Amino acid sequence: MGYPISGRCGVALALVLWGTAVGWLPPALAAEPVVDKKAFMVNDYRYEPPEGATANLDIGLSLCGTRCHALSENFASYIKPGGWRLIKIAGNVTIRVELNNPFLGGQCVCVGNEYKIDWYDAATYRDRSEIRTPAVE
Amino acid sequence: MRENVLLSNRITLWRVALLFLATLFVQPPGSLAAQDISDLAPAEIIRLGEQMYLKGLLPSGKPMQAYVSGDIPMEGTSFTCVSCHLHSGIGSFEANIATPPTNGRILYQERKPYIKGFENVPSYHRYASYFPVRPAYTDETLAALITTGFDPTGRSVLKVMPRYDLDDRDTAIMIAYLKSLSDQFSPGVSENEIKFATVIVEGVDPAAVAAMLLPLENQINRKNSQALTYQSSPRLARMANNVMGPDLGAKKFSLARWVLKGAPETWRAQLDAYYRAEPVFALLGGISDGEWEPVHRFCEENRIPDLLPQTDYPVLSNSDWYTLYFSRGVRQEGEAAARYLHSMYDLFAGRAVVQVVRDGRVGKALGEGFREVWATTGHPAPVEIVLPEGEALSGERLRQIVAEHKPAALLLWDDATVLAALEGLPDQAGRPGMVIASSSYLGKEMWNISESLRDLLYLTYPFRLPQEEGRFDVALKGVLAGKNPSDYDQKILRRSYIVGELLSKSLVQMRGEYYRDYLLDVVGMMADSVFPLYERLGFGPGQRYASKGCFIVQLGKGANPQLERRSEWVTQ
Repeated sequence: MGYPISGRCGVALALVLWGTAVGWLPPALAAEPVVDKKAFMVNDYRYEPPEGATANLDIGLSLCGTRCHALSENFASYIKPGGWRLIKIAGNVTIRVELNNPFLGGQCVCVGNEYKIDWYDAATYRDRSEIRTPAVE
Repeated sequence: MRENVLLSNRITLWRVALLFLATLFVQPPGSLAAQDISDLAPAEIIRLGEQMYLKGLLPSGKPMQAYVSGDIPMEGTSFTCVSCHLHSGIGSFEANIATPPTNGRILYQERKPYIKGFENVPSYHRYASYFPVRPAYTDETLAALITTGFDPTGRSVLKVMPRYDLDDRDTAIMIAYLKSLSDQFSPGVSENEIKFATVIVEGVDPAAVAAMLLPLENQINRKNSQALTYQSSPRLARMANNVMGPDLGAKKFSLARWVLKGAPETWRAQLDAYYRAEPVFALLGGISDGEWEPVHRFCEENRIPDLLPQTDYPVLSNSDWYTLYFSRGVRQEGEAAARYLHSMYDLFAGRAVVQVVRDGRVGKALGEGFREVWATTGHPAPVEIVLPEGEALSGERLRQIVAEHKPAALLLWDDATVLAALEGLPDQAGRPGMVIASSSYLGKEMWNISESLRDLLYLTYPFRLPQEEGRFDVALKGVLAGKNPSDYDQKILRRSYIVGELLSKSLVQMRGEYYRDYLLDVVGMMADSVFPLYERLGFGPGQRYASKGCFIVQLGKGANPQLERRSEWVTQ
């Protein structure tokens, strides 16, 4: 599911993707997309109804709350033996997504901060992360 | 303002002084104890006392008269003993507000700022230090406390507890009841052991039974190893002592398997026989593909706690006490769907909501859940179509339903065979904006929903999303050590893991008071914890259905799709 990204991260992402496509970025960087190392955490959102249409703004805003919060990284799911920390790298990043509701058009504007996930050195810990339990279905 | 405060304080002091004088002159010491209730059978005394304690009703059936803050009259039904002292009478401890025990065994002992034998156990010591010292109660001083609000030291408790207008006979009944309350440890507890059992209904897939048993037996084995260590290593014993106290640390646990065979009507006799042969303190987990009601009734009537059995059909009751369920079962998904659609009903522009229900236990439960919650919203009733059992819904029949009713939303409470009928629906004119199905009813086939249906089909999903569940793998690894994880159903395994965790946390908080009611009281006081599988499990006082929510999700695109949430955790 793609969505347009504005702000500094959008420029960085575009550069990385373009660089990867033309093949002049180092293989290691190309193999590890920058987006995998960032976490987006929403802290505000708003609903933008389709132009010229009358829309229920209250329901739109409520649905955008769910839509935008679903984009937030759930850092509670990070499991690494050494632990991690989040370093803020960009504030007030805006992400626009389609509302995707069958009864209501428009877009959600999700505003949040971007963080770099800084994994601690796990060398001194026994890494058992390769042992995975099957997914819950 | 300050004058008002002073005036108010003066009035309160006068009230207290007058009430204290009333205890001296109006209630001569000894008169209450002398009241003879020997004309009542012991069981009747307990029944009447329990009625006063739990419901605030006098033996005559009339509400007890309570006075709050000394002289503000209120009905005793609003200020029942149980609401603060809890079912066990051992008292409560919530949000730094401590209510002392009111069972006879503790009331008739002198209270010191420590608990003898547990002076060096931090949790016991902190608890004991919350309450002021007092001498042991006698029948007379206890009667004075109940009717006037003054304890044997002359200290008023009227700020925190009502006084009750009881005559001598009713007071004597209440005191007799308090003496019986949490008097002897519950059956299944001995000096060295606590016995538990789990109920397994014959016919359940053995792999599911194994997944249910593994975490429970792991927990029991760990506890028993720890008890052995406790006995053999003084240094480790001190560590366990700091957390659990000397008593729980040294106790061993056992887990019996009570296998129920045959028709549910015969289960009660089997349960009675198991219980006669070996009384247990509580039932842990348990598993059934269908009925659970006979086990529920057995637990109610024998006052045995059953912690979180794995059943899709919990007994729904607002008053039963002894069985704590994970949720209200599959009907909770129907309820969540109703709340979700209600949140956007204004967008439906008057179009109907159609509910197609498979005539079977799962379908009916989902349909009832939806119907009951939908009725509370004030919207027009949904169009209901019942699918006879054994007759698959065809694509043609589904198109007819859609053409006839032109629904805004279509609820399909059916198993995975319904997915074939949905093919082609996305291209039909006048199709519903969304189709909602139950992930529990679809089962693992939900992961095979075709790409063409994924935009249209919404699912009720009563668990944490799988992609966010990974953090609990670490905890489960201890249980699965040496085992092949894929041999075990992860949902059953995780549910059972929760039972073990809940049990160990509760027993530590019970401080050696091994009463069944207190186990449930402690679970009710437990702060929300983060457990596997469920987004939120809450064990509020008296609540019997721990998970109250459900997500509405859609399946994402691609060969290995994730669930994408379309709602927050929709709760009751």
